[in-house]
Amino acid sequence: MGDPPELRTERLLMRRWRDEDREPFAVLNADPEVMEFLATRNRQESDDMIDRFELSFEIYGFGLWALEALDGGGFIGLAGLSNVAFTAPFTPEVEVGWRLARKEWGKGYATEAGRAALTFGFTRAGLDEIVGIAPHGNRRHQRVMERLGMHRDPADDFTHPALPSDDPLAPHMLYRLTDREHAAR
Amino acid sequence: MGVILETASWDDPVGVRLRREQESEAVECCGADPARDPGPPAADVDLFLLARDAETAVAVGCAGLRRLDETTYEVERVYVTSAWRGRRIGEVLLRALEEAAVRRGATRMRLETGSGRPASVRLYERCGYHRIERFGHYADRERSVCFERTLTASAA
Repeated sequence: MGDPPELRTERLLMRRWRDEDREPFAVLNADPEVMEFLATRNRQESDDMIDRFELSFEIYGFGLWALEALDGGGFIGLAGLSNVAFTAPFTPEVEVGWRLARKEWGKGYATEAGRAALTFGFTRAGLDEIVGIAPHGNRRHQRVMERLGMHRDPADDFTHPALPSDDPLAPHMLYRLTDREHAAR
Repeated sequence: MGVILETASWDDPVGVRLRREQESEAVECCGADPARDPGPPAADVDLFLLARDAETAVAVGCAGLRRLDETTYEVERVYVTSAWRGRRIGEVLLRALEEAAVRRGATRMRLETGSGRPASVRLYERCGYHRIERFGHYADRERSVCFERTLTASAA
């Protein structure tokens, strides 16, 4: 393990970003299937994201980690915590999120990394609540949040402020988990 | 889903609590004298890891990495709480420290344990460590047992 904070689960290393991640991360961000519910990003935008992730670790002590499979597969995506980057009725909040290369889907990696990120958020970062966000159409993402014990109140549903209100991706669901709920599992 | 390892500072309160437990066990089993061996100063600890149960987030173990010189690092304060022993958590912690040491340029890892700790000795032997002469400030400690392992990039 390297510079803190880093996490390691049974199958994954959640580590700080390295220059060698920039290429595979840009490939992932340009994959229309991975980015089905987001917009694909070009290399510059992808690199800027990495810089922001690293800045978050420096400022807040948490962020989105580069995700590496311990079986030797190298970089496979990202997972971790970030401040919600827009204003909505529930903000300011910290969200848990993940994004995996297509060929790594279906292995339970998102759940494994998400669980570690939540644990870190509550026990180390001292957060009282962590949210998860997904557009209505992203069932896959919603299922992982449910597996993580997060719960949705339809009253929290919101329209993403960065999208036109008639955009099919604009309606979003909000999932929540409090420190107390996490500790009581 | 096993344990989650996380980096922490040497003076992290949870880590301090685990280290105190480790020290009191060392007093009981091996007659260690915490006054004589207060452990490394925080500045010498390159990396400190906490192990948590992935399901409940309960802290179940810790281990530290101390830099001795450019290519030699020492494993410090490996500890797993009694209820969690026998699940190879010590081995997971040790391997993570080895990887970290290799990344820092280490070619060998050293450690000290007590002759009254057969479980620790077995762990280190199983993980590829061999007995060496007592090194550094353990040289005059008759109840200390010292181990070393050569690290290679592929071992990490």
